[in-house]
Amino acid sequence: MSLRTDGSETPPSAERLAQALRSGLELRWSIPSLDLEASTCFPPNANVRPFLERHADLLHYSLPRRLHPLSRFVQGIRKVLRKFISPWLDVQTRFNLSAVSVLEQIEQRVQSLEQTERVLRQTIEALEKKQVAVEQQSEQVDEYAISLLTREKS
Amino acid sequence: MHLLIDGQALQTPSSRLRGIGRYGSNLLRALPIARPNWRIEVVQNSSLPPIAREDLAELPVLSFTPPLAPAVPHQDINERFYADWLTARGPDGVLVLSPCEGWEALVPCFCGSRPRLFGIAYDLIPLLYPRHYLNNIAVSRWYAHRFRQLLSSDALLAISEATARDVRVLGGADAPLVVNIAGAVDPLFAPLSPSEQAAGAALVRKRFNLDREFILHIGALDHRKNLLGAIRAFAALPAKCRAALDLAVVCRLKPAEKAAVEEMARASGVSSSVKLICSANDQDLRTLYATCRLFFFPSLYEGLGLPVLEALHCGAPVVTSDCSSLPEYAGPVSWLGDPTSPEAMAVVLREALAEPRDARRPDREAFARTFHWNTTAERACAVMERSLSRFVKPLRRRLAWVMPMTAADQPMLEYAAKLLPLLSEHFDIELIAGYGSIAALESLSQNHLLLSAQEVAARHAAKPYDMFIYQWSASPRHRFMLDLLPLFPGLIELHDFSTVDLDRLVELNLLRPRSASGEWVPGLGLLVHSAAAWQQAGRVVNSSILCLSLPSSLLAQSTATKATQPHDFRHLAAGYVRWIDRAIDQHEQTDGPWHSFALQCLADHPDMADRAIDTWTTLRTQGQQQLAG
Repeated sequence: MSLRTDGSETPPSAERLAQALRSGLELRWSIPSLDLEASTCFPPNANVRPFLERHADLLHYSLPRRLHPLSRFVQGIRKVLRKFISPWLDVQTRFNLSAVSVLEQIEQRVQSLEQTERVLRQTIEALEKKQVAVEQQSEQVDEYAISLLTREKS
Repeated sequence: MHLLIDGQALQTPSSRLRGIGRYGSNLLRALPIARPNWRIEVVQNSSLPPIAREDLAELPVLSFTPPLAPAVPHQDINERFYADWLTARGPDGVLVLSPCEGWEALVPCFCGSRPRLFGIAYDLIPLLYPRHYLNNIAVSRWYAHRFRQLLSSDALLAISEATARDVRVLGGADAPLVVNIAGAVDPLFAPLSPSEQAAGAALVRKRFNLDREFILHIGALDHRKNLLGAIRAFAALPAKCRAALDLAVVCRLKPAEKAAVEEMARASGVSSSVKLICSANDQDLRTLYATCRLFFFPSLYEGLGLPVLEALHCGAPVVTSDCSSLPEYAGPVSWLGDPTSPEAMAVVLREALAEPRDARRPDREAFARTFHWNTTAERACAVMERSLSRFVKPLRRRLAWVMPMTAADQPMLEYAAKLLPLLSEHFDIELIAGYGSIAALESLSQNHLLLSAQEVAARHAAKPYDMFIYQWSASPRHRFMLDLLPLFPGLIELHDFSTVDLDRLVELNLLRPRSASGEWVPGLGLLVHSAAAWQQAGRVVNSSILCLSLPSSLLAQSTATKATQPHDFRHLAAGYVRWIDRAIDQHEQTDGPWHSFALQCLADHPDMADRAIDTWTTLRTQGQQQLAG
């Protein structure tokens, strides 16, 4: 890649995005937010992936390290424990990541539905305006007809 | 060779006044020189301001009028109509000067046979910086559409090796042939003679209040232009070095933006040294290049970076970024640095300032002269000629299998799970589910891409399906197919036969009624599973009806016998394959999806629909005949 990034983007993400756009699956890609703080606040404002993704991968979650007289022993215990619970963590991680994807899709569908709703509202407004105009015209026609009738009578 | 050039990049305000417009007009002038025997015509969009005469190089102009008023909801129909209009002119190739134009322009969207399509790839900046350029769903959709249009070209002419590389990497398997044709500087930016330089310098210094030596920067508040980085790098210079220098920033700014830039300069502690130049024409720019101490351009990404080449052509020393296309165009005669680090850039600036201004001027001018529009045009013509004789490999046919996938549709899912692996030997199949919750069987979800009804349009645009198969059954969960069928015509398989369903499909004009004949309908064929159903359906509809008996094992399941006999399904699948293949062949001949599209798009305009479709059909037939001839 020819890109020199400014830290906020990475080439693999560009490749993933390009793949989504190429295959017509852009709705499955999360819309990034310029506001970095927005991705850490709760509830996540219009973008769930950056908020949840960091908590999704339990398998590679690094445990906090503190110096302790028994630190070597504790580390050994941790290693053994990790080996035993890895299969469960793996399953949980897969579930979490798929849940993130589903949430993201739902969020994007909601956004597109909202957009559709806006368009529909605009259409309804335009139709209502047309209806008012048609009613005014029909009133004018009625008035004209009445005036013609009165003229005929007179 | 007959070449049509889409010249809308020279019409739209967003491109005409920027690098794209300048590149397009120079290439347009050079093409007839490179191939004087070619018949080249420029197409302009009559709903946009006309192309300036000086950009046309006396090439003949054809004017295209979009059938519907330019607006986002009409974009699809206008683009499809434009593509057919271009095809009807009978060219050998169409060159689109800017395939990623905004909504105001029309990029031809071809359907069926078409002339060879070429496009110029400038950059893929929105993909590389999505946080800044694709942070809105509407913009993302627009860019996805344009990106797919870009990749649908037969060959792409990239303006730099960096852009060509990006298109190859990000286009992946879909990327067409991409060739770097490079670019050159506008002849307007020729070096000044010593007398011109002296007169121009005095004038420009007076006009722009530049009393001291200055570093020139051309930028914008655009993220990638890195204006803040330029100011910070200047501020990071040692005070002694900065004392006799100004930073002249040429930048078109609105009042609010100007205040923001001034605030940036104040925050960096160089407000008195930063001089903003908001109105400089090309002549002013040429003089500024010729009189500056050095040209500073720490952009994060450039497709070509014309200002760098212009500065070198005018003899100015250049300090620029070591990324994207800039090293290609800055060459060995310039200083390169990391644009993300103001400190690193300041070090490079200091090195450049240490060298006398005109020490390597002849080298710089000689390097800039190696880029020439005639060379660029020659390369472009060679690529277009070569791709005319390229063989296109036929692909496997693609099917969209439309069915509801809720837990209540278990029998239908099981039927599909047995049938689709056999059909997959012949076709690439993707599954389209309804709007509700999806409960697909594991064998289906593992082997086929599952899509929601909402995603179909974009997916079909990206990778067109050859045929849609609707697995229909009498259930309210199947209503979503009524929305899809008019948009995407296809074959209907009546899983559970019911005359009520048939009547409904006829009422909605999706199947041809018994009484009518010849009229086009989106239901391209019907499949039933018993002789009785076949007879009943024949009484209601006049479309082609096929009868394939269900495997005995499946019928036995209804009596709770779970025996499966794969060879039964193999027989059924063979019938399906014949049915689908025949339908695709006929479908291509009559061009069903195109007709359906035209009808749908013009549905909002019943007053003009008939006449417009007649005109359009004539246009399209004419174009396809010319291509066949």
